[in-house]
Amino acid sequence: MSYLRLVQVTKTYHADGRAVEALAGVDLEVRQGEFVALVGPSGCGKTTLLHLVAGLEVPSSGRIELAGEPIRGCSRDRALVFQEPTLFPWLTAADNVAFGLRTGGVPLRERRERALALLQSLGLDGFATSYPHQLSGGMRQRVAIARALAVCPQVLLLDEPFASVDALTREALQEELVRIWQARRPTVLFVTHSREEALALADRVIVLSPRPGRVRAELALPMARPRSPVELAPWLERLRDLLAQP
Amino acid sequence: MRGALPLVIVALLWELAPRSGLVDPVLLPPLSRTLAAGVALVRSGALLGHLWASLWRVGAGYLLAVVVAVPAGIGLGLSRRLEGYVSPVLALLRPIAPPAWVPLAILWFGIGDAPAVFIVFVGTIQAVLLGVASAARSLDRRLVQAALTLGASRRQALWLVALPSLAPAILGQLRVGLALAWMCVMAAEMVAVRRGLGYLLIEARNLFQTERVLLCMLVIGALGLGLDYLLRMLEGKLLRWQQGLGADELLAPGAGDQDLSR
Repeated sequence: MSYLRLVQVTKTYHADGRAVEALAGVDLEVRQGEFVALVGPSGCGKTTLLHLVAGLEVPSSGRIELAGEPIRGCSRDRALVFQEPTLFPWLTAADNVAFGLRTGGVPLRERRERALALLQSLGLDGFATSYPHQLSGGMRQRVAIARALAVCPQVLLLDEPFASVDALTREALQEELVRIWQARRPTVLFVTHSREEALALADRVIVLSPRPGRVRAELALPMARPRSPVELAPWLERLRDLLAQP
Repeated sequence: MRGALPLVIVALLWELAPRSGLVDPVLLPPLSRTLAAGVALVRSGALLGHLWASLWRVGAGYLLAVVVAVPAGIGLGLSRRLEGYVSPVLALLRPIAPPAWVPLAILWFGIGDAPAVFIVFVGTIQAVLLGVASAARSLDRRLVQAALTLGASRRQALWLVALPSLAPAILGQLRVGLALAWMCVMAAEMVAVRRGLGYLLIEARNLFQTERVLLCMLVIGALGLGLDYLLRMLEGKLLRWQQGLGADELLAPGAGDQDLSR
């Protein structure tokens, strides 16, 4: 049974009197608790797709449903982690993590406890009172993930979250993401331009066509995690072929 | 105290040049005589009275302008449509320097505090409104989006995200505005009133009391500096996050003094 459902979703932008079609009829069904990766050439509308599900933008046509209800606007149910950490620079790491709890009216004491617990679980204990500019890129992205997790979202939307960190940090963060996902089982939509990353993490990899984006193919990966490179090699080849098609 | 040396040099030149006959002491009385004139003015109570008059006008005009200009500037910067309506009017008003408003202010308000307060208001609002609007235009919209995806209402996005993120720019504009307000009140007091530092200055010139003229200018400079210092202290208090020091909302100061070299 599908939990998150996109039916013939299109998105057209108008700029300087010209219409640019970003998404052309995307159909997608995601089960609750499923980890889905979206890959595709740059400019294929992956980020647009996430923003639509997050409620930051409205589809030009088609509909998006969560648990049978059409989505309207933003909600704590659907937290988004941006490509850049996008932390609030005037708030400490702990206050950043607690932001969604603050807007939700959670009392100060509880906010503090939950923020500190999350920071600790992401290996950031001792940095609660640091400001974003005092943290490294990888640490900032951890805080951004903790901030999204703090509101206990049903759907976690990640937009190339590890694109701007170094390879070692990326691997560590990927492992942590899988661990968190296994513990909490949110439904995950993970946008990436890395084939390896998509295959290592996801239950299912959705391949989008070049702009205007639509679903071209999907790969279901039944293997347990962590997955070895040897195990993934044949999948990688298939994915490469799918992405290479014009 | 490296900054003190140039001041000492200027003071020495000011004292010695007229005494040595290098410049006419009537046009430039030595520093000591200027300060002596100041002591006399303070003793008679005149200086303090004029000073309060000026400060009061600046305070009133400036605060009125800030109360209007900051919200209006934010609205103008965030709303394209509002800006489209208002900016042609602002573009026309902008080249009119505050002193050019003085005749109109006298016609409208007569002689006294009101025209001076009005001039300060006009001069400050121009600078602060446009500065805040341009800062608001360049607001990082991704921060607002991040807040919205974390369940913030539009009102929360404004108060918890837009305002703090614009705070450094707004405070900077407030400092620019205060410097301008201080200049405006002098311009207004030279024609529109019978009290205030600007009036004292122009009266001293009419009586050919050069040391009083210079003294007034010194006081004007020192007070302007003092006012700016007050705003800078406020800035430092409000923007501690920029230096990354101090307390935050959740945790007591010193609770997590951490090793950043890790």
